[in-house]
Amino acid sequence: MSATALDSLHEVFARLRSQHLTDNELRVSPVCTRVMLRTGVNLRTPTPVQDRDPVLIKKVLDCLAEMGFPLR
Amino acid sequence: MTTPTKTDLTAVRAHASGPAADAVATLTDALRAGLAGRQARAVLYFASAAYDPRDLAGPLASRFPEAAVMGCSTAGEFTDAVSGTGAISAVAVPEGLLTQVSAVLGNLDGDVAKNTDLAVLHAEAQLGRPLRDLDPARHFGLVLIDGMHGDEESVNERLGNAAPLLDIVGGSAGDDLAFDHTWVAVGSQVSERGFALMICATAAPFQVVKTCSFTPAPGRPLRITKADVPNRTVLEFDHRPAAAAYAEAIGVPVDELDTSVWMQHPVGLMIDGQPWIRSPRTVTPDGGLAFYAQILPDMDVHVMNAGDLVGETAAAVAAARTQLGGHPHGAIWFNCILRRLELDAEGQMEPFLAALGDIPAAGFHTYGETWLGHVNQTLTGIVFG
Repeated sequence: MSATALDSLHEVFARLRSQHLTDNELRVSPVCTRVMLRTGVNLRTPTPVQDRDPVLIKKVLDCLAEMGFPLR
Repeated sequence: MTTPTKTDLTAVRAHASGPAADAVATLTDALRAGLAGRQARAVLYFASAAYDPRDLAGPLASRFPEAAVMGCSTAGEFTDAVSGTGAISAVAVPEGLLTQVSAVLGNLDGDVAKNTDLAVLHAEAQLGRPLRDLDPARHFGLVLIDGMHGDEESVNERLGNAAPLLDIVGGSAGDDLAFDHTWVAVGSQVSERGFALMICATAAPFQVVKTCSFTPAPGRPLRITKADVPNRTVLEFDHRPAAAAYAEAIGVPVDELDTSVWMQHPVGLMIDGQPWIRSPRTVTPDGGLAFYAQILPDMDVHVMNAGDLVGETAAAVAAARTQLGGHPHGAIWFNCILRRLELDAEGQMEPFLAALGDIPAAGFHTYGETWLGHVNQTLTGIVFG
């Protein structure tokens, strides 16, 4: 499955948790904060407008990849 | 009367003033006396820009050869007992509390991203493993960043790429409000355009503190619709000139916007209910609003109302103390210069120091604070359990 299959930020967040942050809920918070500071997107509570914005989704995916969390 | 027993893990702090050689001797004597024969694993010092760093860095490093020694210039320095300017505060963290320490000096002259990555590689070489492999429950970072060139966001991004789960706390070096140049130092090495990074392994629990005294004002947030990100300038809020839109939101004419207004009404990026403060710096000639931290296009920020700085500080420190389950062994603090100015103006510095609790600590008043990113008008710090 390619990253382009992720059509919403909710899906991105779910994939991030299942693929990279499965072992410890406490690890979710710093990653989400860093993403918010770098993209303006709160992965836990994206706004409806943000949720399916392809530009924002790509920006978040790029940010996560830079932090070592590429999503398949 | 009984004399309290100093545990082996208690940090030691000191404060000194006067000529550099005398101040170094005073600090050394006080820290060694407090250590009472224990070895320091890390020594951090925060010095007035009035000092020539070369008179401090080498001499202090040579007096603590067993420790990683790191410092920077300030906009005021403090311990849990005293705050002032023109002096030096320092804290020695003993072995036992810290089990391994790496300290490196990063160069920010040139390609900031590349040079930050290089510093990370040096730290990883010292530690013998990648930062991202460190257990975030047992490791943390401290960072002191040049406060004059606006590189904090880039440094934090690269550190975040290398160690996204690690708490890295710190502040931007100051220069007693001269806004001319700052410095950071690791060991005997000094940089006037760099950052000092210390990665620590600890055997004790620790808590990060991040606190500010602001709450969102009523009303809808402002959306950034145009920005000059590298220059930390918002050009438009909601498709209107930023200064005018901000002034209307707080009910003040544009031509009356000044430091006193900005200090009371910065803007906050809300993350899970907590504000990450961005403080206005000036109105630009084109009607934009320059800040002390970046704000990105499409972000929503809230205009903030100031509250009880001392009260929120006390509450945050008390919460950390509770989380750690008792009396902490030490702390290192990074307090915004704008908070210091407010404390000084209101005669609240002593209550502020009292709010930091009876925890041996040193810190400095900064040109910006760090935790996961760059933030303004905030106190960040790390408290050792």
